Amino acid sequence: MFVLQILITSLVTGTQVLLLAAGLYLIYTVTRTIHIALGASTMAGAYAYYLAFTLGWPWYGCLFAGILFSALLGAVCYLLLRNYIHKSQVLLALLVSIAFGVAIEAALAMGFGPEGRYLMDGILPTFDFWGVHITQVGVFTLFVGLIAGIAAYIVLHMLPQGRVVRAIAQHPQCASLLGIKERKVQFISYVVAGVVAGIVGILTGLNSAITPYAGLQPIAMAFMALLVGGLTDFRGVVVAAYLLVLIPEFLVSGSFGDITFSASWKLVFVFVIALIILAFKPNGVFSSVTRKS
Amino acid sequence: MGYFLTIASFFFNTLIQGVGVHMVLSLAGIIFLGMPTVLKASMYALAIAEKAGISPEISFIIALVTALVVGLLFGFLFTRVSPDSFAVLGLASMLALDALIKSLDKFTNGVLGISGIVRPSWMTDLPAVAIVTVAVALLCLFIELILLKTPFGRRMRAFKEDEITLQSLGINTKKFSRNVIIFCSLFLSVAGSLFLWRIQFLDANFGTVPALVFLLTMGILSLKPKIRYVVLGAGVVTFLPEILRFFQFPSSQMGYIRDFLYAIFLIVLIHQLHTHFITSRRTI
Repeated sequence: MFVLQILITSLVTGTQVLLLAAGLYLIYTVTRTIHIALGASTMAGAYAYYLAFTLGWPWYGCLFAGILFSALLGAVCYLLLRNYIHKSQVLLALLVSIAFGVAIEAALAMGFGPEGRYLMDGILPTFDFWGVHITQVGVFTLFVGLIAGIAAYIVLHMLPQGRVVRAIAQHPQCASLLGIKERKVQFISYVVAGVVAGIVGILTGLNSAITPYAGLQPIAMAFMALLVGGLTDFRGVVVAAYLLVLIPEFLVSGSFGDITFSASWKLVFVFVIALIILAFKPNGVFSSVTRKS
Repeated sequence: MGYFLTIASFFFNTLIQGVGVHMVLSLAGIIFLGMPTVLKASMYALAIAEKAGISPEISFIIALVTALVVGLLFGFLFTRVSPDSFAVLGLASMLALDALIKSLDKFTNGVLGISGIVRPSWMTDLPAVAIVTVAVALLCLFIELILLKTPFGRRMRAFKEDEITLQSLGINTKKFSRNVIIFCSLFLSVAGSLFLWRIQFLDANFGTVPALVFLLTMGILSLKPKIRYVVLGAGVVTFLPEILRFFQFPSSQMGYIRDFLYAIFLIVLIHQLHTHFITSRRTI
């Protein structure tokens, strides 16, 4: 029962990390940039939901406000980064993204204060089966993850829009020569990643309290999943996201003689695991070797 | 007088950090986002050593050794992974160290930080701290000036310009980049120790993303391989928040306003100065 509970908890957290990693992967594939500000966008989306909630809006209005605000931040971020993206100055784009993320977090802290905020009143509804507990939000997270996964597969592999994204990922210059509007696709990628970040932020906020600086930890985990899984194959990212959540969860929940670890050790374990793997497999565990001409 | 000495100490302390940042970011072009991790690790090493009853001088050496070890680790990572992976790992290391420090509260006092850090007997009051900080900052600037004139300095600039050419000239760029990161770590450690001795308290929230933005702003202001740009960078990041004193903001908001301003300032700076990052092609 204990093991099953850990598996269920890890599955929910892993899905949230995976959704964020998917947004990062999409941006990285299309623009080759590392978009750190996505973490701050998750919290910005959650705070927009919170603001609408305190104004007495219905839940769908709050949801729309949260997602719209995150998408808007994604669009603003692209406008800030586009010059560096087009000049292939990816590290400068990373620095601007970090600064933009800090600006969003500081603005949220100025507006709402550093204390935790809740996106719903009352007790969190839970489902119990075979002695295992899962919150309603947890079930919804798994459902969203599943739907997003199926939708992403259909779009990328069966629709012309997906072929455009894959073409830009493979050869941007060649795609431009064929009349594909690269900038438009990049802009849409940032907006889509913003939408995903908004959904993740709201799901996180429905499960626990939100603070302005809470977005950095999930985005760091998502990035490590991306690096450990390998930036060339999304299947690797899926496996890495769940493993990087599951292994620390087991280590924190178990006891090793007199040694026990508190929940705050999780990120330390994630970092150490990622560090060890990357020291031996710098391109990620599931990356494939490609020849460079 | 106290305010003047505090600001002067802060400026010269920032200058020491600026030397490290200038070497790694501006001269060698290594996007080393683990700088706050090195700073925080060495500061905690000093504070914990002092709390264990070790003299401040020996604690300072322990802090330097800690910075050396962490710098070596980052140097090893830099030679193994791609630059963007290195940047992400540097960023993640800040969060990991923060979590580690808050978890090991038996040694680090958790979120409360460590107070009552003892100064060495030869710098017990603020004027003495200011004098020592000025002297060390000038020494660091002199060391950097000497380094810039040596083959090591020329290699740093060449590394940013064209790593492949440097390799073809028989230079071991892996070993070299490791050394640059170690030098930067040592400068940061010296600055961190002097900072701790001045304020005699280690805040657990120090050395996170705002500290990184602070260091990056300084690094980007001092992009050119000249010492005067390091002084300029340190001056701007020291005196920029002082402007906020003229406005009547509530004290609880000051930290956030400062972070916000630094972040916006960094975005504007990169936008204005980004052409300096591009490797210039020389025509012969």
